[in-house]
Amino acid sequence: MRILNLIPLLIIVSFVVFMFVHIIPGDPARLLAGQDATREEVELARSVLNLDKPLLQQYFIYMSGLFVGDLGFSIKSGASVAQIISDRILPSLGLTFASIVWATVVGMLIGILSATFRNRWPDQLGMLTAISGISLPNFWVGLVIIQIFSVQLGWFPTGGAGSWQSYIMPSFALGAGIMAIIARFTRSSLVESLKQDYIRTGRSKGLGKGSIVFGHALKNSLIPVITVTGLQFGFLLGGSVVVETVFSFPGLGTLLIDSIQFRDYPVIQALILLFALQFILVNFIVDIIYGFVNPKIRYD
Amino acid sequence: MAKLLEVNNLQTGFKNSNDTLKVVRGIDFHLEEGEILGIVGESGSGKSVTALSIMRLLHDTPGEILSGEVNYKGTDLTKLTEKQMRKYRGKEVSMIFQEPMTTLNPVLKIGRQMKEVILLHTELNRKQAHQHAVETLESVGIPRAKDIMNEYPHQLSGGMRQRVVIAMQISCNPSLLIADEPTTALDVTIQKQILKLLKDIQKKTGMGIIFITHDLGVVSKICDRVNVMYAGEIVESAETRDLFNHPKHPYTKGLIESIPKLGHNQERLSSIPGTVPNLNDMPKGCTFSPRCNFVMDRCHAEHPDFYETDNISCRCFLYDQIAEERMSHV
Repeated sequence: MRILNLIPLLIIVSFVVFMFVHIIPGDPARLLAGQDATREEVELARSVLNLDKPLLQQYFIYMSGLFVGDLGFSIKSGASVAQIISDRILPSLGLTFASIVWATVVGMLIGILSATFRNRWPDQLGMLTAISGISLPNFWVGLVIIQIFSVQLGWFPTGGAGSWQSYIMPSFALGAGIMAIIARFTRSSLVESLKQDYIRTGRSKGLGKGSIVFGHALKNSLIPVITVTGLQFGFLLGGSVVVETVFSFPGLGTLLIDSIQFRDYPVIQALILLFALQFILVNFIVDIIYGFVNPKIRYD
Repeated sequence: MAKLLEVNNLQTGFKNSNDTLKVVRGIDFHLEEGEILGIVGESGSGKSVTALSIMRLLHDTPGEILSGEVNYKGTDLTKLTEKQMRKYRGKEVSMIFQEPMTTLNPVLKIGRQMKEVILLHTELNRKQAHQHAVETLESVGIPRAKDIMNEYPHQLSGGMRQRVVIAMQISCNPSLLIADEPTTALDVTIQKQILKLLKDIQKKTGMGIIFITHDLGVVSKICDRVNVMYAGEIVESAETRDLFNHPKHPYTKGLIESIPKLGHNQERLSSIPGTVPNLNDMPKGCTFSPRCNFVMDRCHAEHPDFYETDNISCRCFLYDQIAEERMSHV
């Protein structure tokens, strides 16, 4: 039922995306026909691409293709958009998952340590790490670690997605900020949980610190952490553009940049639609996880 | 009867940035085995802090035990390390709290919260612990205890939750149970049931209970002896019957007079004027003197000791024989 609700949402998203993409200044027909093409050649290219038709009609042509799974063809290369995206999606997904996994694990650990040893040195160290992670822009982190670990130490490749080593640095750069946000959310949420009455009950039963934190407080603190992790994950799917560019990573982010530069409308549309779909799916999954964590909001 | 608990000159304070505010200001009392002792006082009199000090559960407050002894079966609890103290909590000394809606963990099943304490303090295995938990729940009058083990706190009513908390805290057979306003958040019919339950448990197990409340009506129903607290001190201590028949301290008198009586046509409810003094602005001499109708010059200057009259000990100069004699000589 909830999945069916997604369809109208996606249609609205597709419409908005379509309109915005076509509002961007620039003429793909001119780019396709070449710099020194004649006026006639440009017009011919325009009509091949259906760009001479009214915008709404173009939208309907696009959507009717979309419903039968036809994402159209790239203006730039002529290859099918589905093919282009499927070539690039795996490295991007790999990068995204690697980033979110390490960021969540490390972020939560730092958050738990900080909350448990509140106002003592582990807390101060943890929050210093977190503030650094939030404040340093990820492209800068990327450039610095390339300089140190690739150029000087030669431990990792500077870019590409040829081996697992080439995932390490981009996922570090991409996950640092998220790790920091998760650490801060975990800490504040856990600190709040540790003040609750049921914690005192747990202590009155003779429970030790470990059981109190992991057995009682943590599960109660997870809702905001899951929310923020889900949101960040959603952003990551489309937001790795900068980091992918820094590391010349052959993923969807660099594909998007290339397509925008060439005004490759079908590819841009398909990518943005894909990002939106992923975002919606992540939120959907987050909603389901809520139910596991908090019995009060379990869906029947 | 042997003494189960003996509190000597207990002082608990809240640390402020520059000084310490004493909340419990040197109290002494004891509890016999199998006795129900009431601690009565209005908000801010230090009764809950006294309870938390005995349990050493001041973690979440800025509070700290400053001095004094809490002798439980001959062991001074204030001297124990946190790790040693954990062996007492839940096993020897248990506590039930005021707010049944929030004292249970909302995301854990009742069964998990029940079994946790049993597994911690007994040798029982998981299966036996489960069985013991179900039996304890049944013993506090919870119907369909087996099903409730698999339910979450929000699926139960307030009264049921308080029963669960009681079951949880008595499941390891503690010798001392501290009940901090356990009926305050419940409606009157449920209150009555819970009081009866506590009394039944006490009879059956012989545990000692410290019953903290602001409600003298509740005290008269359940307690054997009463300590009246005011501004961090015990001001009157007596058997319940004596206290209600011949209250001595002007504060206790005021408290008893302020209970609305059935059948009396009162225009206004009687009350004690003023409020409990501020912690950082304690009156010199007797702490109750600013609100007292019987105040004498001496009350503003000296701090009263306990004086014994009619089996009641009371911190009030009105009962100072020497003073009375002195007055009559003049």
